[in-house]
Amino acid sequence: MSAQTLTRAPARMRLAMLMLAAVGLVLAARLFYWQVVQWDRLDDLARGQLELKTKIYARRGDIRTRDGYLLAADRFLYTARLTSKVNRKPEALAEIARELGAILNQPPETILPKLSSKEPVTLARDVPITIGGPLQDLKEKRYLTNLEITSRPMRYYPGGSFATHVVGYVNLERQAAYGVEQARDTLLRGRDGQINSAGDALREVIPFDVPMNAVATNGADLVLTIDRGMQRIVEVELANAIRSTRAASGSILVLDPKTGAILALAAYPTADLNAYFDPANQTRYNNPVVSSQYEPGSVFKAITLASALDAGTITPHTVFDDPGQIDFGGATIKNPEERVMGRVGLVDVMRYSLNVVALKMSVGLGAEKFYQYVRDFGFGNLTRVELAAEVAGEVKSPGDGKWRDIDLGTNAFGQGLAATPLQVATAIAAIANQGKLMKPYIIHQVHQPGANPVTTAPQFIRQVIKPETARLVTQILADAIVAESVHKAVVPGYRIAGKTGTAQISGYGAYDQKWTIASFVGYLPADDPRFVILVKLDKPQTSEWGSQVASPVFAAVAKQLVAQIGLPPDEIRKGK
Amino acid sequence: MSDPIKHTEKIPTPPPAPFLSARALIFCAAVIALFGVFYLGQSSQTTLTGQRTHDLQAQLDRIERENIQLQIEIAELTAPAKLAERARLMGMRPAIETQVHYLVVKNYPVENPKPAPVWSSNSRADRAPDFWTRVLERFGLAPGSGAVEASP
Repeated sequence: MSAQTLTRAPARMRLAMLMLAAVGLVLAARLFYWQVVQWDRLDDLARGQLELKTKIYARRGDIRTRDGYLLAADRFLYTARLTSKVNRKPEALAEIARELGAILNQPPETILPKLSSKEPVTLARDVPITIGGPLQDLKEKRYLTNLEITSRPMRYYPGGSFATHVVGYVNLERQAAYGVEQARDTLLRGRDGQINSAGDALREVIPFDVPMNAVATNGADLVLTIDRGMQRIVEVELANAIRSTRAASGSILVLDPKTGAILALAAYPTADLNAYFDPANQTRYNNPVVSSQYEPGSVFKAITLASALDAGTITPHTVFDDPGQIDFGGATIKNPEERVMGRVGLVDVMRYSLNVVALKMSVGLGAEKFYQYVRDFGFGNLTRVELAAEVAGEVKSPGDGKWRDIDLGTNAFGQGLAATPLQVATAIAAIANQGKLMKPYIIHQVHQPGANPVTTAPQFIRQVIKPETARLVTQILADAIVAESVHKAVVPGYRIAGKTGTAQISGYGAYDQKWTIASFVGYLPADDPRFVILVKLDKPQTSEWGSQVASPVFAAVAKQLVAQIGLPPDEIRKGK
Repeated sequence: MSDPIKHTEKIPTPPPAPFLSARALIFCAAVIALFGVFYLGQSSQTTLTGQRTHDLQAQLDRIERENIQLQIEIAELTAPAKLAERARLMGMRPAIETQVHYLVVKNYPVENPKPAPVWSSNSRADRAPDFWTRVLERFGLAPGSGAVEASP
């Protein structure tokens, strides 16, 4: 159209053209608004509909006993939720309800109203793969776009309260607490991954390309040194002991003295690892074998004896004069039951657990040497076993501001210092193992995904006492048990070495006058020890003495352990 | 006014060079078409393979999860307390030392019993890496899988 024609056009024509131009302008403005101004928001919306960010959970490593029993594993639990009403014909809805009911083990009549609900409704929560898998199949088969199925790993402990204090637990937030779970959390945890991809209407991945961003790395599997059979034995015997002595708490530890491997560890009170959320269980997961320190009492006399013999301040033939009590460091030290023995040899010193003679041994040794031996045996230091919340115990020494003269005397019979049961067992294991102190450990193997298993090598720490000293101490401890014709720790057919302990419980500036900690730690066979067994019972009510309440438990455990590994009695073993 | 037209000799122009002959054009079009068909075939094949591997990966994940579930059920059924209870119901009880008789064979070398066999993993440690890890490995991008030293 030429200019001439436009000018000649009627007014209404011009008006129409102006209106068209105006509409065009408006459209252009809207186009500019949506395509330019709103670009980012619309782009985000579009990506939100298309893009799918899928979290790939790393599987936390399994924990097993040395013989393969599964102690802890991650299992996947599924939650199925209908986000809106299922728009199908009534007969199709009935069929879906029937199929869902078969999977969920629910009557279809209860499911049908949920399918018609306009509000989001949960069909199943935290169900195992045996239900989650078929639900997923049904969703795909019936194209149920509004059936949302999510899964997440959850820690599960098939043994319940089996080896509770060894394993520890992982809570719903995937935080580890106690035991190996906490101590080796980094190793077990692995690393979660994420796939950023396109998603279809079912919110399933459309795998057009390789997700390069983050692949999940599973955690390492751990094999512990714990033996299932031995663990069962100590747990049953501890429960029996708690029941029969009416003790408030207790623990039993079994070590291999030659390697330092922890073969069994039980403590009471205990709780189901799958019920950590129960407030009543909150204090029951703490492992007293590594986290609670106590005054070991007369068990410590074995350490004092070994130190004095090794340093040469006494010989196996030394005879002490025991007046029954002695004034030392501003206090009077007495023997148990105020016994007065007069002239006494080392076997009787151990047999009657004479405090006065133990004091004479440490004084004869001198503070410097005595504490050197005590520290060399591992007291006052962390063992660094792979269990959470280990404490170091407390050993005072001259010059630290806390130590007093009397400590040299009382420490000789295990009072005035604090140790964990693991430290005590490890020190006695050094005597059993020819004077060699081994680092205690509880992880036997680490299986990293895709790598060869790494086996823990036993770690020798130091030669604390000479091998001949260790043999002498073993002989004295074993003779002391034999000398007592009705010693309750005796295991018929096997020569055992060990020491009882009856320790007072320190309170606010004074010792508890009512309660004691009764213990026994020993090993067998004495000539070639296979086990060090520590039994500790807190506040027993039937007797305060370790010889009465802890020794029989030692014997009960030891008898079953030798039967379990098929260790013949000494006579047969030595071919006599 | 004189005639401005001058008689000039008409110079013959050479025929235009056949820059793209009809045959060449058809050939190019055929090549492009073939390339397109090949490209489409390849990309659809890639997508199909991707979909199939994704399905297989999902299937593998599901089987692994079912396997874990079965392992857990086995562990529950073989829990020491359950085994002891079942043994008790079957009339068994722990042997006491007086009931254990060791047979002595003269001149037979007696050795200390060997420790119990150690459980050996045939699970994830020995498994092939998953699909994406294998792909990433091909590009040298897989997360490190070096052995971790266990502290004793």
